[in-house]
Amino acid sequence: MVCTKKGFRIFANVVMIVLALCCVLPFILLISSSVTDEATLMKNGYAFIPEVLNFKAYQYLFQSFGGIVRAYGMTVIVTMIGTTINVCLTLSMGYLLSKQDLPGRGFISFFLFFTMLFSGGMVPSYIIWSQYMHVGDSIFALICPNLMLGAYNVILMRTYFTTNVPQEILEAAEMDSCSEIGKLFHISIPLSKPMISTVALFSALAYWNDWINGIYYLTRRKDLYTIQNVLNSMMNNVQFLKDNTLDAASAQMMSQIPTQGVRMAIAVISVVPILMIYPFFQKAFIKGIVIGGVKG
Amino acid sequence: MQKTKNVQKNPRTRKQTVKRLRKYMPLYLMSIPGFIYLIINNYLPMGGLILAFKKYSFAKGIIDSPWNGFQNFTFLFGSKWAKIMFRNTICYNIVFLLLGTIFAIFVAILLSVIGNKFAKQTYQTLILIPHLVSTVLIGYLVFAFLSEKNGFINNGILAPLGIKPVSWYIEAGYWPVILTIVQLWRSFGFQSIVYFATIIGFDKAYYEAAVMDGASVWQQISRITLPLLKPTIIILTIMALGRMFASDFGLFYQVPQNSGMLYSTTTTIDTFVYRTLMLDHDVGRSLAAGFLQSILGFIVVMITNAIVRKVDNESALF
Amino acid sequence: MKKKWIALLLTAAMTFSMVACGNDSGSTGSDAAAGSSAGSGDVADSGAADDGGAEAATGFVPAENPDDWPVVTVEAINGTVFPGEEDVETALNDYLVSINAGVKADIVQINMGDLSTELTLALSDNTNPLDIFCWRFYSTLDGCVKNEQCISLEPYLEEYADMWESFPEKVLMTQQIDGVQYAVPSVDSYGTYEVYMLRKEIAEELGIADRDGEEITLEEMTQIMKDAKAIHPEYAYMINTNDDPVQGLDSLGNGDWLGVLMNRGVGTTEIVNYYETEEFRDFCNLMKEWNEAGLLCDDPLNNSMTIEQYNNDVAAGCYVGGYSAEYIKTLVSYTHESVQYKLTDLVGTSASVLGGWMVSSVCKTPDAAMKLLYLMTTDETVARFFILGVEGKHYTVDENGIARYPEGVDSSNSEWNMNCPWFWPNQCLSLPLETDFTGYYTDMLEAPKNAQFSNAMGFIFDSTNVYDQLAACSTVVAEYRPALLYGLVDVDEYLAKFNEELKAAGIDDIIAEEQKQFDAFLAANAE
Repeated sequence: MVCTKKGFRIFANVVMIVLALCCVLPFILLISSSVTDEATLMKNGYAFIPEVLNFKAYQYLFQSFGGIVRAYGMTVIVTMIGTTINVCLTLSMGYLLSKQDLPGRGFISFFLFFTMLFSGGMVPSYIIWSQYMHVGDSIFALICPNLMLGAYNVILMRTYFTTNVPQEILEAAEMDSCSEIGKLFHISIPLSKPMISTVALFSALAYWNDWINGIYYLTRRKDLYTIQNVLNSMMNNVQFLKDNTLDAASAQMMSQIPTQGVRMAIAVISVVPILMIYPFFQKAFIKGIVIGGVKG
Repeated sequence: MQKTKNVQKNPRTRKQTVKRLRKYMPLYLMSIPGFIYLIINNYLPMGGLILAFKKYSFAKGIIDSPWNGFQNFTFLFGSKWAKIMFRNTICYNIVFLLLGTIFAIFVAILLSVIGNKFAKQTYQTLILIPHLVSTVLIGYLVFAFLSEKNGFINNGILAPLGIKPVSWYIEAGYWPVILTIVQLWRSFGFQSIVYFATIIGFDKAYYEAAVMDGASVWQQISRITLPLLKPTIIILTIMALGRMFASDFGLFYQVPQNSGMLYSTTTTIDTFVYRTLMLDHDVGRSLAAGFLQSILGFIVVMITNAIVRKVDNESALF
Repeated sequence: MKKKWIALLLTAAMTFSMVACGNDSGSTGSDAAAGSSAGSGDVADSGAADDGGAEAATGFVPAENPDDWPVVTVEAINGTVFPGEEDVETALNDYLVSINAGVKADIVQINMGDLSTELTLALSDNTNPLDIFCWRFYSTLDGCVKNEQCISLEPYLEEYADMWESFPEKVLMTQQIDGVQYAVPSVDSYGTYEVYMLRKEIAEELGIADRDGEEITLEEMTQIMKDAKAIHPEYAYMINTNDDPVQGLDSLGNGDWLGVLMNRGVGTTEIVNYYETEEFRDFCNLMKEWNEAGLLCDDPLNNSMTIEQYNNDVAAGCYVGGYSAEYIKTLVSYTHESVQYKLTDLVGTSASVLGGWMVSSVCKTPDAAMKLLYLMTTDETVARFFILGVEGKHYTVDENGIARYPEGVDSSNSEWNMNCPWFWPNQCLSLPLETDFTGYYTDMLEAPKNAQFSNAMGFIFDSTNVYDQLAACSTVVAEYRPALLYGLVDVDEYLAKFNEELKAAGIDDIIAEEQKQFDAFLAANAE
């Protein structure tokens, strides 16, 4: 959007700074609680500036370095492979559906949308993926179920193709006897870079944040856990101890649960890298805009 | 644009259909992996929905478990909770959808006018942070603000002003507001991305022409941006309506810390089902609840889509 | 047009998955039935048990070549993944071969926080089944039987008679439904009493340290806490106030107290609505008093009210339960030294048997699974592999017969989980860990002889007829009870509203149904 009014620009900047602060401050709270010692945290709750600095949590993480690095590695690999596949599948389906005169377009849209509404639940999904597709206890368990293709992204992509790729350009290409697939690669994809990088980002976030596949399908191969699985299991343990009023004997299990500081520290390190990767996605955004400008 | 309905009646158009089928054949072929995936991942497990009408036996499996009619559904309607949870689920969803959409578009427009690339990138990255933090942690963070004895609101804001501390986790009345704020806070960055990506893809010529004609900022937004965004808004809204009867479990369970005294404003269908079935592992009953949510969502979507198609065929989802 | 699509889609989906899931689930069904009838809770089960009995009479015969022995998977619960699994399995399987057990073991570690999800999936998986599991922390005996997640163990009563006879009759009954045995109970003291535990240095300052072990009333306890608060206001003196024994309840296995026996079920057979009693009103008032005196932790509804608060110096006192003073000391010795004041008698209630081990209904080799379960319960060496790991590697035994961590190892970096002996079928076959109390397990075995038992021990309520009422009442309890138990609200007004809502949700139906079943239970056992 072009805007020449300086006043509105300043207004926009001020509002965005306030919003950005709202998002960052709680996160700082998270970081500061990861360097606060346990007893203080329990007694006084969270504080923006810790009274006494205590890096035990990070020390602990460093000690179990191997495990954390491996989990990290799994997250990165799974996210990269999964996102690539997701974007390819999304593009092909989204493009197909963007053809207004496609025979069966309504049916296919419905077929797609229906998957957003109904789901068979945990047990049937598990039976299909682990007993028929045999993805259990392997890296495929983290990539295949649920996340490889989603109706939401396809519909976003379809809408973008129909609203942001001008019909005239496509018709002109058809005059030059360009095939349908040729049009996809030469016109639609270059013109849709902003949405493609958005879909890629959504998919990457979904893979990055996912912990369900790990719990469901990695029963015997916990060494394949991603960083979110590690974090989530710890959180679940805490919840478990809170829900079950345990006698003193079971409280012995407490010793197996890392302190709150460690939980916070893992939360911090699970968020930071994606913040670092995100600007690269943005680069794609910018490129998209530049190319988008060329067409106009 | 011709509608499929007419196609079958008219032999001439049938010929055209065949022609178009041939033309698009490569695209169909290209999409086959996607279809296969949807069948495996979504449609095959859907057969499990019959369990909503069965008493699931782990020994007998899905097919051989005995039928039990609508018995799995009754626990949802047996008490005063039925009214409360349906009311909460629907009201929260409507509020979230309405405010969330307005807020996301507002942010997307602001982002799109900011010229400085670095600033733009920084904002975009930072507003995405809340989406990356799991709900359990968000629950902790909210607690840091609202804790009666140590929370920031009571200690940092109300105490200096001389206002008595508020027992946030005891007063149910505050929670519709608190939950709405939390939901908006954690989702606006994510939702605004779609709108932002759509806006930056618009043809700049429209705006340049408008500026030449001396259009104000507001006029540019209301005459150009919003009408161009309309199909996207409609599609996203229809998709959201499908989840009208579902709720984010984490938001309503972890964030209020499952605090009993807040149940009247925090119980949704999902939290009620979870609490009831926590120890039972009754697959049939939990599927029954999910099935009901899906069916109701489905009805809402079909109605909305039919209306949209009447008014504006191009924007309809299917 | 649209309707047709939907119908088509649904039909297609159903057909596909019916074919898919059907094949395989069908086979499970017959598998399980072959082993023994996977009880549906009907009395008809006992009939099926006879068939199985004939088969079992020949006993379990091991295959000749150990390589052909079935591998039985066993649930293990923990908070992190322990790397020692392979070592333990190797050593255990070598031992099993040496005694010609005819079965091998494969341990599946499950994270306790994910237990609910993982076990539900594992128990519906018949290609890669979980064979032996414990219902503790997952569900209840009744729940597992209703879901047909476990098989009846009736066919094995004769073959493993020595194991069954080692349990008191009342304890075995807690793992039965309609007289059909479904689980092997976890060996424990089966009865506990509650104490109030206070940090020793505070007791010394108050001059009451020498009263360690004495029995006190709730009033005396209140005074002690108030005195302590006066000299050490920085601590709280109570953590979790939700404690059935202190209030004298036998909860009939339902933590929501929807129908209870008072006096912990000793000498009474009348099921009452505890929330309507004077006792509950008094208790709530007492809690209100405690809260106002600052004896409770801050934000009790939102913080985790576990012994963690004691370990981290937030609270200096709390309730603890156990079968003897020394045992309780051992349990909590890892942080602060403490003194304890006895609050209740040693009683076993319907909630005292904390876990039971089952053979899953997806298990393909139930005979072998039962054999392994038998060994875990009766064979000292096998039990110790599960509970303590490999001797010399994960633990050593000192001259007093106490298990010790090897040099440089403690519970935080041990390669095997030794912190939950009570989870396994028979902890008493293992050795006390890192303690001076050599009688840890021998005293535990003696404890039931001195205990009184509730009349409801062995009674399991079948909630089928009042399920919807239970669901509604549980939510009402979760809504009102915590605030009352932590003294956060005006008792009279809040309690009246609470009771009103419970009535509306149908608590009277539940209690009537419970009383009916309980009377039948008493009559059946009187014979």
